[in-house]
Amino acid sequence: MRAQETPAYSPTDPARDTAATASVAVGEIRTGLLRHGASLTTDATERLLDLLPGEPVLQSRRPIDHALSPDVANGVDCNVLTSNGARVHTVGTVLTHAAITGGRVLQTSTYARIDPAGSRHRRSWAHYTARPGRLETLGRADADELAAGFAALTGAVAPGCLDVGAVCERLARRLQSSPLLDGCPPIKSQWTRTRWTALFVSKHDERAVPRADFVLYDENVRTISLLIPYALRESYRLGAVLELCRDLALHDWVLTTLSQRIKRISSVSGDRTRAVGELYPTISHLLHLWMPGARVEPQLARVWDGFERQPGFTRQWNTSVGWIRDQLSLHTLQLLGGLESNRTAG
Amino acid sequence: MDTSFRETSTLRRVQDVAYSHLSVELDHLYMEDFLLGEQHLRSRIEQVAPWFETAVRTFEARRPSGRPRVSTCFLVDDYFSNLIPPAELLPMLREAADKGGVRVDYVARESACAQYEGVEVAAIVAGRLVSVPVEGTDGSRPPVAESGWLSNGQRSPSGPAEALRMHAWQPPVEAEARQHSIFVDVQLWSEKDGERLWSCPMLAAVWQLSRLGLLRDHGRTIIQPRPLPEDLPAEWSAMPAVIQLNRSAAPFHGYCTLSLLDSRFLGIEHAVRVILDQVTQDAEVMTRVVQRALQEGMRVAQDVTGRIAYTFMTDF
Repeated sequence: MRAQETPAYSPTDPARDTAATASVAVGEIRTGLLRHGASLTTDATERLLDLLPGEPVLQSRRPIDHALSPDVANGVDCNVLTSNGARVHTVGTVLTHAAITGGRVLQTSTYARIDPAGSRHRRSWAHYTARPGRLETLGRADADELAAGFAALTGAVAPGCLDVGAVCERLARRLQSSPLLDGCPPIKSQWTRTRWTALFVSKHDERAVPRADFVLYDENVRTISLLIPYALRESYRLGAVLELCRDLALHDWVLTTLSQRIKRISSVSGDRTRAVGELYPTISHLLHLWMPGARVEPQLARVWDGFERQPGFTRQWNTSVGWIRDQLSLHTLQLLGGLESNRTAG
Repeated sequence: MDTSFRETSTLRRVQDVAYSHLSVELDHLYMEDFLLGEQHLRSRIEQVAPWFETAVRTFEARRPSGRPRVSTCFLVDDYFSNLIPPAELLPMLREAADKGGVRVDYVARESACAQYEGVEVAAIVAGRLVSVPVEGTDGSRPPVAESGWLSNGQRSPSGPAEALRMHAWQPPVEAEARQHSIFVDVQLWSEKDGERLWSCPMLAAVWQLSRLGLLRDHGRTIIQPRPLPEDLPAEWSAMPAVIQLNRSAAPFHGYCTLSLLDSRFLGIEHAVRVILDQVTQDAEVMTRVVQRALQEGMRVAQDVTGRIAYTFMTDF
């Protein structure tokens, strides 16, 4: 009997496939603040994320508390829209998990890998349950068109078409209404939706340079599109891609939330005491969460590096944090000035 | 300098088990069958023997090389009744098997398929059930689930009597029907005073997964054979989940299973397959089993139900 250690395992790993064909992984991540006044304890986090009996909640402490639930599966038999408007019939299971970072931020994420090679007819359900997290098309489909079609769909999903967002939204709602949470989040914030695709190109595809595109659609919707050359399949395992996308979604949410708070506080004219009062929960609950790329595997760090150059997430973050500290300094000076004038008057 | 940092709590360990090529279940008896006495038990064993020999011969003939490892097992139903203590039943079974010329390598307890050493085994399997979707299932709605029941398709619409009277009856649909449906709705458990009583098909599904070596609790195998205790206890609950009777037996777990069963179990085994088709498997465990079998030159079916075979025996 042997016990073998494996890193946080992702069951739908394209890198494990010997087939040299193209495939695409798609998913959606919801990111928001836990409905809880304080940072959620390790114990409560474990209980909240215990979604599947017999499977562990994976917790880590460095460089920030992080917990990941096991995956739960949902069966689907529906269409996926391609970029040219075609509907491709797909069957299989999608997987959903939840993650909590810093005891504060909840993310639910639903994903699947689509195998576009196509079978002629729907197979026995046991075929699909033996391959959790994998969708198979009925009839051949083009992986590029599937990826582009999924990424382009940022609005409502047509009935009968794969709705991974609804699956992760349901889990988010279920977790948010858990009795383990007190229902009182410390600040008002919005949820973000991050749709992502990872196109694993075929052995014969000449595209040899990895690509990552991040698009902000409106206040809440983002897309991440990754193109993974054949030679880099091993580095860009699906588990690593999931981690990267959650990390990007998390930091985008923290930055978005901080920016919204600053906008709100800036609009309060004159009353600096009130403004600073509003800053306290932001400082206590958000500022320590900024650790871009901390959980991302080294081989994928170049994606973060690229986004740091353009648009420069950390640049914007540092500017925002600087603004907050300036407000505090000014407020302190104001208070000291007040004390000084009181003393002079006295 | 190269540095590395990792936290063990982020690692998921998956334990491997030893495998036979084939695990053969020799008949299944209810406790009541044992009450019919040793003569009845011997006649059952005599009935099994030729089917077993034929099965092993056929299996060996199909294997490309070497002598395959075949282990035999017998499941004792101690979940629904507890009429005969191990100290009585086991010697009776061993003697009948010896006289009938059939080798029983392992004896397992059915109640260990429900719960064993604090692990809710059946609940782990139930948690992994994913209902077979009908066409148009796109994720936008939660799966239709009747607590404690699992079907192989879509049930007839139900609703208040008034509403139903307005419409003609609509049939249930088997999701994988070929032209016509064979719709099955399996009860997984019943509940009494807050206690869950698992159904026979549910426990039999766990039993199959257990024999195939696919069950894990936090990555650890749950049901492993232990040697026969020297003093047999009065209660089945004090017995190990699987007892090894034959010291030189091939491993309990098998790449595939064969169950030699009386025809009365046909319905139950149909239900077992309806359940097993809908249990999502641990992909890591599945991959390793397939790889290990391949290293031995054996191709196992990718799907769990493809690894399970039956012979329904007739008493001529």
